[in-house]
Amino acid sequence: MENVKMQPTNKNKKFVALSLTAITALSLTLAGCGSSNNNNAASTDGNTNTAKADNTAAANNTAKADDTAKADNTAASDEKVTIDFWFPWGGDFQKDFKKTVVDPFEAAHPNIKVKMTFVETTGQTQASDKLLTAIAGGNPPDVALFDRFLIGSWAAKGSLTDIKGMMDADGELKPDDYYPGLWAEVVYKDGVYGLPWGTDNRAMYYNKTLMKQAGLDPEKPPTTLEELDAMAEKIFKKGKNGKYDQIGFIPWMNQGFFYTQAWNWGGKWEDADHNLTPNDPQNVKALQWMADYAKKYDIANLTSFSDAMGQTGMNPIWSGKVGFAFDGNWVLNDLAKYKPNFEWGVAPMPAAEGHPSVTWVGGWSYVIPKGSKHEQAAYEFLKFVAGKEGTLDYAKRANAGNDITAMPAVNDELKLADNPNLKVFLDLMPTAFTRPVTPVGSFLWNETMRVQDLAIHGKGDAQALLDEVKKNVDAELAKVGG
Amino acid sequence: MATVGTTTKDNTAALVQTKRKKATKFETKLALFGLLFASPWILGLLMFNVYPLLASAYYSFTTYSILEPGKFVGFENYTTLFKDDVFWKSISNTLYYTFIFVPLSIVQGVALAMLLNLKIKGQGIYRTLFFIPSLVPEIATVIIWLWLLNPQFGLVNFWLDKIGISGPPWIGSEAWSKPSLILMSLWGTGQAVVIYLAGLQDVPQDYYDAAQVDGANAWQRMRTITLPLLTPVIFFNMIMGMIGALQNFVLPYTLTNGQGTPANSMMFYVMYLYTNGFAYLKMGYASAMAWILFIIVVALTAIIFATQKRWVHYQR
Repeated sequence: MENVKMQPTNKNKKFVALSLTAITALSLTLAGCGSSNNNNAASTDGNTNTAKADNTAAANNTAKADDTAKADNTAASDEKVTIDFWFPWGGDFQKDFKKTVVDPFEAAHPNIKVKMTFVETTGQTQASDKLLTAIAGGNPPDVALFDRFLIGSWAAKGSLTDIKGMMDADGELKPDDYYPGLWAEVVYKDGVYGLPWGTDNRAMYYNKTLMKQAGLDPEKPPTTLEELDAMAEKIFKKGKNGKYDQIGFIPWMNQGFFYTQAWNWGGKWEDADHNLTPNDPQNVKALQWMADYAKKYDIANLTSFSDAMGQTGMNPIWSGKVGFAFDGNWVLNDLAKYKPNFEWGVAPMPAAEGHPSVTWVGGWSYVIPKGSKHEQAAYEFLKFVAGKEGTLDYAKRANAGNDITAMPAVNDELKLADNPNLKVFLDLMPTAFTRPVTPVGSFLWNETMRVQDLAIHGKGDAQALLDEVKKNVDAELAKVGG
Repeated sequence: MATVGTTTKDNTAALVQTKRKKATKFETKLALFGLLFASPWILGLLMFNVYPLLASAYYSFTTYSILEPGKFVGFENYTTLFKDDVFWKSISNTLYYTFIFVPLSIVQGVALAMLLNLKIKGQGIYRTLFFIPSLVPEIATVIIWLWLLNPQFGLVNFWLDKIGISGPPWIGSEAWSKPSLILMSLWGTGQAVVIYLAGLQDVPQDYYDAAQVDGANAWQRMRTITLPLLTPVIFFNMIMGMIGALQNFVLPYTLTNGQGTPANSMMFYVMYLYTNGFAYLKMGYASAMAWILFIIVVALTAIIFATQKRWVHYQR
């Protein structure tokens, strides 16, 4: 702090300082958008391989891009192309996938090389900001492993390639090759925007030991939500300072959040004409039921319990302190790690009286982002990885665990049903629901999470909250012209 | 000291005058040369600050989604925002956090700096210890505090229990989530402390000596010498702290997985902006939010500036 610098309080200086502060503030505010774009653009360039360099200039030139695609076709045997494949998974995926899928593919297609690039998903968006900006910038990868759930909204914005024409032309893969729900997720309006791949669904895990201690028959898990409520009540147990030692059931724990519970109550998220129906009467009942749980068992106390569980890094199911929990087939994989010292079982999730047991699926798909320079080669790759051969090859890897593939025929061949726990999940697949394919899928999802959170904290009544969601998603839809 | 100021002013005036007369060839060359050397920075400013700024101003009037250019909708994004409950909730959360965190951080920062300015043995070690939290990445801060504040087995509730208080559920409860966040943020204000410390060491020792001769006690010396002379630094930290607090993102985002739970009590402004832009692909809407935040920041900064005459003492 030199005297000279600090001395004058004259107006000029003040003005300069104020505007400097303003500019700093503004650039800080906007830095999030600006700089991340720039970073992404830079790294995209870094990832672009040299083989594609001459095409880069023609990135936005569709005529040229078509030519390139044709060139792939005609010169299939001699012209070499390298396709860029972005995947969002760390860990062993790259090694396993390269060995079991990419190597056989390259052997069968000597003119196509696959370059794998790990591009992480960003935050809770389920997609990657890098992929987003790469597509927007006209320089995307040729193939991306993509959350199927987002196909609706990305296809609506014209950022994915419709592969229906290519599929029809060669007729190798058909919609019937996949489970109906999964196929529905890759179709938007009349186009096909990807091929389904790995998948998962939900069922109920139950703790036989806790059931026995509560005087229940451990071999008879609940089949209706009413039975579940009654059995769960007997398992809730408080320890010292009034905190829960063990929990019967928390409707929103693990995979049991509102989206799931609405289906369990026989509710729906869209009608036959694909109109979104968040305020379906059964959805309202489901949310009300969840709010009642929160009230009856005290939300603060329940949250304390799940926070504590969450921090052990262990799925609450394996802690042995939870009677019933809804979760996915992937949880079976943790078994080897935790080796619980209690007896447990898996059964379909109980449904409301008079409704059948249901489940819902999510999972992954392969897509060709709009602007790919080697569409035809990319499609060859899609056909291979998401076709029977590639699906089977990858599913046979050593650490496949309790995965379910998107193709019933492959699951049969792998004899997945021989594993009784996995069979519970597998049997639910043919009738599994998927989330509505809509341009506002992410928005609807977050809205349901928002009102769930409000409802269980006693902020607002279920009907009013869901009417509001309906109003909000309709307004969003009107804006995007869906 | 006043003379120094005037001289500088006269010099500048003289310079300006010569320039107005006519710049010599040499001066023009010199100016161009200067611009050449500054050009990487200027280009960077234009490309990475000015252009995105103007672009976002334009986008705030469109339905831009990143993936498509979107159409022009006039003020619709702004009018929709004013009807958006979550937007208002995020503003009230952010202001709540800012108005409590910033004053607390100033009090805590000044107090810590005064302690760290004492001439005691091992002071270097203390200074390091208090600075360490600001070196820890924010994500790590989140994980540490999630453990400390765990309602069932956290250390904080454990000690509260020892003195007979049943601790709150902290992050899991609507009433305590923001106070928890403020607690975490206060933990990482080492950087401000360093600036206060520099300010304290800049206070001339003769002032204290003179005050001591006049019989001023420690409290009086602090009130009449230290604090007034520290006000420029407090002023600086207040503005920077406020801007930072208004843009609070990493802690609440990682604490709540981007959901702002429970009951939206942790939905902060920039978090909602990010969700709109990147999760819902409503970049136009997000741009509108960015501009509203900008206006809020400028307004609050202007208010603080307007008050500075009353409490900031530059004169020595």
